[in-house]
Amino acid sequence: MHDLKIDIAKDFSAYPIGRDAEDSVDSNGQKFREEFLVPALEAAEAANSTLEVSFEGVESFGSSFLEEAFGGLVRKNGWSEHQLRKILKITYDWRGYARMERRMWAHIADAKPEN
Amino acid sequence: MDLAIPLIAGLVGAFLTYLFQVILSVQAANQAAISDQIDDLRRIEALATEYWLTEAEKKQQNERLAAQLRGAIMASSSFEEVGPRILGCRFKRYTELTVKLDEIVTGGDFESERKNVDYGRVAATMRVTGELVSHLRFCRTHVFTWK
Repeated sequence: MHDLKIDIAKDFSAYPIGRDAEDSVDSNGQKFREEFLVPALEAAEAANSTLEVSFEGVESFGSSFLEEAFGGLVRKNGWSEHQLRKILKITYDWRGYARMERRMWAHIADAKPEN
Repeated sequence: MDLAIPLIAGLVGAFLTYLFQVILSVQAANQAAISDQIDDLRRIEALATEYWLTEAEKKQQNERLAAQLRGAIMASSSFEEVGPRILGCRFKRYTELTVKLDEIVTGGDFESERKNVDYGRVAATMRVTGELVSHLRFCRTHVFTWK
């Protein structure tokens, strides 16, 4: 049972693009991380709960979006892969999103904290 | 009693023929799914090669190719529905290679204002697609030898 949920396609964009505002003003990875993911993860952690992030309805992800949004959690926001695996639950109905989810976890695993 | 033996033999023969046909048709369907996936990967390779060889100033062409690439990757992701069942233990290697391919094709300055011609990504795309296709071709000829 997930107490918190972000539906990327409905809450943010069905066509997320790029790393930062230079790539796309409204639907970039940095914006998604800072305005959606980090606050929701902090709320989930404080409530000792999990955060469900739904990929359903997204028309594919570029690697720069996935790296900045999810890898950025490790690089810039101090989260570890271990913490994220406990809190973050990726959901979808269509199995095709499994390929995107693997890429997302690969970016998290490869990211190194910047500070 | 005289009729029973040929009757049973006939029934067993018919059943074995039916079973063999079912096995062959499942095998043919699995091989067709792998062949379709190879075609989808070749499409990604062609689009990615064109995209990463297109100059920055051709903005419209870059946008069109990026959208086509995204679509092609999503289309080929449908293989996730059947891949684990068809490829069995070899599905893991397939997933490692697709993560690598997607990172090469949509990484770096993909869809960015800074995007320009990148010969390295063209070469890497062709190398990893070749590896993926070779892996899938091997799987296609061995669809019933592992599970």
